[in-house]
Amino acid sequence: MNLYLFLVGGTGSRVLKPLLMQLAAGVHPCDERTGAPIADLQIVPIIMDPHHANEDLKRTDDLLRWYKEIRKSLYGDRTDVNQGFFNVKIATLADLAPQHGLTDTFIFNLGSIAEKEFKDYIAFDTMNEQNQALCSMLFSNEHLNTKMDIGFVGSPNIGAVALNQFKDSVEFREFANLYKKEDRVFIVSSIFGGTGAAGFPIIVKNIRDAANNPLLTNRGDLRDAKIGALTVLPYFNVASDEDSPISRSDFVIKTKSALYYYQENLTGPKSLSLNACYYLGDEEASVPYVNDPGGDGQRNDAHFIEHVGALSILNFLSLPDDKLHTVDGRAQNPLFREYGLKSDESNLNLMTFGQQTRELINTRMVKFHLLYMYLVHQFTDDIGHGYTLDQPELRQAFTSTSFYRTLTNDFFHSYYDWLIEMQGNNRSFMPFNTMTLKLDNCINGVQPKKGFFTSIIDYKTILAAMNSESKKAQQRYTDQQLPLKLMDLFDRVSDKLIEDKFSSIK
Amino acid sequence: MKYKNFIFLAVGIIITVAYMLFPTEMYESTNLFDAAFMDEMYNAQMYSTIASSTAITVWVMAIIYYYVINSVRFSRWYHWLIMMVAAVLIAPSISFYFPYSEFTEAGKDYMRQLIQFNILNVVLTILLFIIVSFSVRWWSSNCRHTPIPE
Repeated sequence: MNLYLFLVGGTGSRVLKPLLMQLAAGVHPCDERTGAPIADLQIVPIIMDPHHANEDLKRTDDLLRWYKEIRKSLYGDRTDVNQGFFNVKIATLADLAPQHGLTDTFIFNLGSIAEKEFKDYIAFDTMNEQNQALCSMLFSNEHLNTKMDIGFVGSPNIGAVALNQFKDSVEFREFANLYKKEDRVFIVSSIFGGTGAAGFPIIVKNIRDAANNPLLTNRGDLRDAKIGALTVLPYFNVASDEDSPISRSDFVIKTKSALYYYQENLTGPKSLSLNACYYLGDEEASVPYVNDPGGDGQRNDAHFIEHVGALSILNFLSLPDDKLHTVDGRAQNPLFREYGLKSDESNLNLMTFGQQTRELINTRMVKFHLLYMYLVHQFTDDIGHGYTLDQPELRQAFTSTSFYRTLTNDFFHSYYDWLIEMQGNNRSFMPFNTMTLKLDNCINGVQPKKGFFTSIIDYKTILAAMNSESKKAQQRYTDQQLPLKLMDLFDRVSDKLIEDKFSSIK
Repeated sequence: MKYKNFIFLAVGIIITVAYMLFPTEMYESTNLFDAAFMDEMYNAQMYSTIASSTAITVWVMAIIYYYVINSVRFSRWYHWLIMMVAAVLIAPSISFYFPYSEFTEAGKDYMRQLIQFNILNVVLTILLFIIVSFSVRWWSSNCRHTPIPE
């Protein structure tokens, strides 16, 4: 199954980051009815944001490329991997149809928008006087003079016009042609900004109206596509700035307006366009972000809400097909979901989640953090000992491979930043103790089991477990599978370590 | 891989059994000792006692190292060396003590010969410890690459 994941605007990119962390940790969605892992899962992220200089977008794009590189080193192009770190395959549209000459990128090409001011885009100067007057009523001078390479600066009325080119784009046609009946579509956007609030309805509308688009070859399947969406309600705060078009006080008004519009055109009984819709927000304001409409790169700290938002994508994938039935472009019995914490606290950790979330991600996130701690703080000292000497040998040269460097220098660096940013935000999410080098106090809210006959967990515990597992794994890995050997061994042993030492995490 | 490990184990067992079954031939073939000393040792059945105690000491020490201790904290070559030194201290002590008490009881003085005999036993213990280590180490989870990697 392919999941076409449209990430619209800044929030889209920010929600993708925690999803990548969860997938890197080995979280794999399972069918909620049978519990079986979703087979042959492939996620195709499509980032729609004209603001290419957006730092959040750049960071997410980097993370995607690193994920893809690491995953390729581990499993090649296989899609039948259901467990282990980085098991879910992530691909670009170009990967799915290499013969069609698309650019190999996760970022949707909105070049023709980004290069222009809005008034040039709508050819304001060539309009007759009456149309110019009408446009002047609909759009302020600020709107008309907005250079769209920084997005739509919180103005969905601009975005709604500009993003309409979506249906004529090569990427949309390619997506439409590749889409198969068993595939799914998910759209992540915020409702209180510009790009996300405008882009989300346009994507849904164009998919449901596919039957009327003669440029598409796969119209029937696309019209009845299984579509889910995450609509992120206000959750972050921006510093007040009189000169900026973005203001926290506008967020709620914009949200209300957009919700009315969505009810009429997407989710309400008149349209029934979505099979599953997830609403997520937080009344507790974040640490105020710099009020940057886009000109200075718009780099905002990661937030807990984005982490929870990524769970909606996993939840959507776990829904059985019969819950996502669509007839003639109208969803049958659409689902609407929200998210609640076990308790309303300002300082959160892995134990603050409800049972369902804990079962879905906690073990995997802990495994990933232990992997991070081990590879960053210990692995090089273990080279030349124990399991590293089993065939195929993990020698010092392994630490110079692109796999190892991308994982430890790039991906883990980004992972650490992500933890620090969420920790410093409000609500503060501190799943792990980022100040410690020790394993026995690295998980916040969970104490490892200790007893008279039970030793504490440390790096030697991991080495011993890796040695033991490697002994059983003779000839399991070829000489070309050194990355897989390291990651697979760790994945196997950390299950037991968590069961023995951190069993209360679930 | 598995076959290779079993061959190493088999070789270790064969050498040990041969040492225990034919100690007289082995010790006397060295021509390091006086005929009188060798006769006394043979008559008191010291060769087989010493060979058995040396072999048992070496095997027990190796098995303790590879399967009882079997720790990542004690898996470097110098940890293995400590175990070998321990075996070298125990086995030749036994091989000195038994004949020494036997000869002292009989009022005979073979001290110089006994010291030479024990130097030989130190060498034999070292050789046997190396052989036994390479016979049994393959199934140890934490020390299978000690003292030198496979």
